[in-house]
Amino acid sequence: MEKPVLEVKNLTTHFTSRAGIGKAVNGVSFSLKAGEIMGLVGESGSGKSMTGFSIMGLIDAPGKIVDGSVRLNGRELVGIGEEQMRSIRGNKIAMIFQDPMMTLNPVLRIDTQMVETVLAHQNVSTAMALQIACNALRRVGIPSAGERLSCYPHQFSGGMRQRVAIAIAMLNNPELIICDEPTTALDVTIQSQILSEMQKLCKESGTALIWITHDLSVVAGLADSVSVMYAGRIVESGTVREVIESPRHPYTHGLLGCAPSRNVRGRPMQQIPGMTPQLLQLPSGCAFRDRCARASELCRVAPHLVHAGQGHEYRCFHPMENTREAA
Amino acid sequence: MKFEHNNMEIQATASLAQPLLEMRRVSKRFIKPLDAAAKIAKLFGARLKEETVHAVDGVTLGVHAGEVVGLIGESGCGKSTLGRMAVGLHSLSDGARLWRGEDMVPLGRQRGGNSPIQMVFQDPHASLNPRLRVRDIVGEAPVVHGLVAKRQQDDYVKSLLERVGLPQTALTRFPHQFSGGQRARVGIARALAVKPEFLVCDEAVAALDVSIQAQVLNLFMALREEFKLTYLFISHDLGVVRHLADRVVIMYLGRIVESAPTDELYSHPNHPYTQGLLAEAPTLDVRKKTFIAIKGELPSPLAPPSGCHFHPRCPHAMARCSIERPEFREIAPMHFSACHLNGN
Repeated sequence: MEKPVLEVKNLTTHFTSRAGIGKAVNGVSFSLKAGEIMGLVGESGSGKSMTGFSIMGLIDAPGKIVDGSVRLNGRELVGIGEEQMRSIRGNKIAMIFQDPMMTLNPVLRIDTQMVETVLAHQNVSTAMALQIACNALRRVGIPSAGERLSCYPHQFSGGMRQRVAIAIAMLNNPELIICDEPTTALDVTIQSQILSEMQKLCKESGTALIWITHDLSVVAGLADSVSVMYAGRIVESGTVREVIESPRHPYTHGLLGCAPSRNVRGRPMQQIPGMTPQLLQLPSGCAFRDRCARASELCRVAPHLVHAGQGHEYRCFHPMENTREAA
Repeated sequence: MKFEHNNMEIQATASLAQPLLEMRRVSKRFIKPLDAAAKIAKLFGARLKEETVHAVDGVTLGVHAGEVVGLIGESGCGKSTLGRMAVGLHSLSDGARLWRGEDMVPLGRQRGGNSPIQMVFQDPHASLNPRLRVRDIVGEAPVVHGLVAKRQQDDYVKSLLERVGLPQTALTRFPHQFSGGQRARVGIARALAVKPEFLVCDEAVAALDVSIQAQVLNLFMALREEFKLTYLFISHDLGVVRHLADRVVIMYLGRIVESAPTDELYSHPNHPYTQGLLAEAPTLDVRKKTFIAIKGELPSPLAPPSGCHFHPRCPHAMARCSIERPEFREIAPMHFSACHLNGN
C-alpha cells in the first residue's frame, strides 16, 4: 500500500463570534497519494475553501482549528509554530487562488517575486534562482519566458496571470498544491488550456493536487477522486466515476441534476429547493434534511459514514439506489 | 462597400416576419481622447493618435417576438456592449436600432414613456441601490411612468415579489439582507416592474451556485410563458444557453461569427471557433479527458488582427484569412457562419 502524501483526519475549524459558533469545517477526513488529483466540490459557504486554508495553516482569528490532524508525509502540521509552518508553506505545500492578484504583488516585477520565493526555501545563487524561475514560466506555457520575467503583473492578461501564479506555486516542487477555484474567473478556452497544463504537470512531477471548485463538470474531466462538501461536512466521496455515475447522497444527486446538460431542453430544470443553511444555525443531524425529499425523523441524528465499497463513502440514512450494476 | 456582405443576412431576417428588435449594422467604438500633455506634445510634432477600441464592429442581429436568443462569447468579445446597446444604455457609433421596424430614440432623450426593453444585470449586488428598500427599488419606476398609482405601489410590488418567488416580507428589506439567489430575483422583479416586452439578461445567473442557478433559470422560463417575454440571453456558459435559447449567436472580438437554431448549432458547429468552444466546455463525462486547447488568447481589440479576427488562433487558417474578412453567409437553412472554409 502506497503511503499517502496528505492525511487529513477529523479536521474541525470553528469561527467564534458574538452570534455563536460557526462550524466552517466540521470533522473532515481524507487522504491523498502522490500524483493524485482530488476534486473538492461544494457550493459557496460549504467550507471547501476553509478546508484548504486550514491545511495551509492560514486560519486567522476568530477562526481556529479546534480538533483533528493534518499530516504531510507523516509530519503533523496542526499546532506547529508559525516559524516552522513558514518553512513548509510555499515549499512543501503551495496554494493557488481564484484571483491571481491575491498571489501577486502588483508593484513588484514577476522576477523579483519569483526569485524571492526560491531564495526563501532553497540555498542557491540569485542567478540560479532566476534560471529556476524562467524554467517554471516556460513549463506553464508562457511564450518568451525570459522577457516576460521582467514584466509587472498588470502587463499580463487574466489567463497569463493565473499561469504565473501556478508557476510560482510549482517553483519549489511542492508535494501538494491546493487550487481554490483557479479557473472560475477565466474563459472556457483559457480554462481548458490551464486544466491541460495542470494535468500534465501533476503527472510529470508527482505532485498531489486538491482542486476546490463548485463545478462538478470541471472535476469530471480532471480529477481521480472527488469529495462533495455540504455545510462543513464531506457528505460523499469516492472515485470520480463512482460519484458522478452513481451518486448515493441526495445532495450529490441533486447537484448533478442541476447541470443543464442533464436536463431536457425546454423543460423546467431539476432543482434543489431552498438554499444552503446559515452556518450559525445549522439544523441538527443531517444539515441537508430541510432541502431533502427523502428526509425522515431519522435524519435528526447525524448520519454516520457508510462504506459502499471501492472507496465510495457517504453520510446518509436514505441513500439513492445504486444505479450501477452490482459487480 | 464595407458592409456589403451583410445584405444577405438582412434579406434572410426580412424574409421572415418583422423582428421585434433589430440591430442593423451597429458598431460601438470607444475612443480614449488625448490628454492635455499629449495634445501639447502633438503640437510639437509627436506622433500621437487617439486610441480606439472597436467593441462591436458592424453587427446585425434581429430578435423576433417570443424568441430566446442566446449570445455567447468570451470576455472582451463585446457581448455585454451589444446587450447594453440593445437596451439603449450605450449610444450607437454606427447603424440603427429598430423596434418593430421603427427607429428607437436613445434612452434619456425620450420623454414620457418607459422603454419596452429592460435589462437584468450580472451582479445584483452592484445594480441594486444598497440604500433603498425593495419597495422603492422595484416600485419607483412604475410609479414614475404612471403604470400604477402611488398608493397602489406596495400592492403592486408585493404581487411582483410573489411572482418571482420572494416572501411578502421582502418589501421593507434592503438588498444586503438577501442571499445571492434572492438578490437575483429582486433584480428580475425590478426589470419586470415596468411591464417590458423584451429582457436583456447579461450573465444573469453566472454568479449563482449551481442549485440556485437552476431555480433562477426555471423562473426565467416560467416568466417567458406568463408575460410573453422575448429574451436576449448573454452568457459565456454553453450549457445554460443550450437549455434556454431557441437560437444561438456566437461572437468573437466584436463580430458575430456564427448564428443558428440551438440544436443545429450544437450538433453541426461550422465555424472553427464554435467547434473549439464546444469541444472545450467541461462536461459531466467521467472519462479522463485530454484538454485540447484553442491556442493563444483573445487578441487586443485595440489592434484586432486583419481579415478574419480568429485567424491567429485558428487551426485551419490559410493565407486568405489574414487578408480578407469572411462573408457571413447562410450555409444551411437559418444557419449562418463567417468562415472562408465554406466555399469560395
